[in-house]
Amino acid sequence: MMEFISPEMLGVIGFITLLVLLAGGMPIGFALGFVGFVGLAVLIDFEAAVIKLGVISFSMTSHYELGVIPLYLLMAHVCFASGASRDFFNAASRLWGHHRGGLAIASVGGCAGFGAVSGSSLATAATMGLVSIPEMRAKNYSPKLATGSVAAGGTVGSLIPPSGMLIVLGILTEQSIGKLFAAGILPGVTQALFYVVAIAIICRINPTLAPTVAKASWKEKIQALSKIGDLSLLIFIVIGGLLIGWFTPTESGAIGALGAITLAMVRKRLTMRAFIDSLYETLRTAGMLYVIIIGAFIFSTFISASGLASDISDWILNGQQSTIGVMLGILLVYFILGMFLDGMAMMALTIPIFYPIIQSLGISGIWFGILVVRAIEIALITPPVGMNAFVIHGISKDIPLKTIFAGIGPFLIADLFHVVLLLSLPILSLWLPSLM
Amino acid sequence: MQEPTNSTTQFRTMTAIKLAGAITLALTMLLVSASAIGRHFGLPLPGTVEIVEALILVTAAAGILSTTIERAHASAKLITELLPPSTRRFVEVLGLILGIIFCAGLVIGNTWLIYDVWGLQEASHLLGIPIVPLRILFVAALTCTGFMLALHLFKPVPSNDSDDSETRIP
Repeated sequence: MMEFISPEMLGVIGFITLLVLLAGGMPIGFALGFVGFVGLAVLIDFEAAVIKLGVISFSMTSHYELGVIPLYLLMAHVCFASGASRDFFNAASRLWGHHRGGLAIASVGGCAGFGAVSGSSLATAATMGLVSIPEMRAKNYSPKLATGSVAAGGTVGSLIPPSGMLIVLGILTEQSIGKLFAAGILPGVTQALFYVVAIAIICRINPTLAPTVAKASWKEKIQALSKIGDLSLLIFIVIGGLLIGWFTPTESGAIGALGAITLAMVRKRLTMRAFIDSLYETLRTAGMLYVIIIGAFIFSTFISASGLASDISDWILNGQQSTIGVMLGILLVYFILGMFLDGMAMMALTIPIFYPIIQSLGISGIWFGILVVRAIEIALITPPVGMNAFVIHGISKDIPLKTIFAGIGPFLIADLFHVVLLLSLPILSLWLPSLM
Repeated sequence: MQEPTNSTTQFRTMTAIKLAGAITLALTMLLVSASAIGRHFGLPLPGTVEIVEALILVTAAAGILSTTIERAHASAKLITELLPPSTRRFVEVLGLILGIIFCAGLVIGNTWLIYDVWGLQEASHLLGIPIVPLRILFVAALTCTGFMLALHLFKPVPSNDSDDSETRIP
């Protein structure tokens, strides 16, 4: 076979086959593993391919650092089960609700807060949507603004640590998860601020979108804030402890999960049944991620062995492309792929090719990671996939998808400015990791 | 009368797998937390990493198996949802076949490694935890995963039963 096809061509065939399989709805982990396995068997030989499969799969599932996945997931599921999203929204709405568009701003704020425990934009949009959309609609907010703010706000959850996307990216690129978490903080906060500005502008242009509501008393504000005080302290310890070097990512996940369980039990928000369900749900989600990670590593080994990534790097280096030009090209690929693939599939498909290119060009892997997650998150709110929009539609079935996507529009414009900001100011992503 | 017995056995097996994974996950959480806190108070727990690696393996193996039994593997469903049911079933079967081939590769690869290290007393450095039993357990879990995928070939997905993976964390 190898007499007829060059290794690089085999890499291209493997990439295209995988793209077709993923777009065709094949399970992501299986498709990655299958293409990588067959590719290695053709490229090297069957014996080497199966041994590689054995080595990768066992080392991935018995790796101490990868314990971070189920531990952070457990923290998220416990917070999810104990209704932390309502507390975050209530606190934000008591603080900002009386401003025009304040409840939409509170939704974004609540998403940022809940994102710090859930690590997932879909989960953040789903849980926050259940709490905030009915309240906004009861206060006569436009369905467009109500749904758009939550669908877009949910994406903040993927940058604010601990982020599931950043964990998987850190594992795939063998970068420090702690540094990636640190790198996500300022971009996550600025993204939320951009959304707040977008809400303020559209409410100024069209005040009927968001009628003003009564101002909460100081007593109500303090009551609402006290409900998130302990959870905020836990987030501070978990993330702060990781950033200042008290804990490794795995330890931070364990402390976070244990703290979340303790807080939920003290507040009588977690029954034994809900706790067991959280453990089972964690197991199921972790199992799904482990298969994807094993598959991604096998595919990555195949792509690396084919020499495809180094060929593309050489081509880019010879063409003397600028860093910004390369990054723009990569972001463009994500926007296109985002039209028919979901985030995890996009990441697993492209990282084995893009990351070696980034390394050979001397571009910071941390900065690249933040931009990749940002691009993937934008794909989560753009049609036709726009997964967050579908999640919100599932919650508010009477609001048409068209209305939800129209509501997302202003936030997409804010996203565009935010991506430009991240591209032009890498320091925004790199400053906090440089302090570690 | 046969069906309730089968479903009871299936339910018990599923519960046992989930319970094993849940217990090792909870133990991992407690052990890692104790180790992190202990270290800051001058009470380090040597060998924690080695125990946690063994526990994580059981958690991951149980997780992979329960995800497979519950048909919860992540996939991009945008295009398949537009397809007619018969084509969707074809796509599902193709996905299962890919999974079976992949699992077979994993089982052969891991068995090969067991054969290679058999008799070498492979163990962790500090506590001497034997690795071969963990490898055997992992192969058993992968074999069961492949077997479950093969069973799914004959059982179509009940409608709207497996679509919730998109709204799960993360």
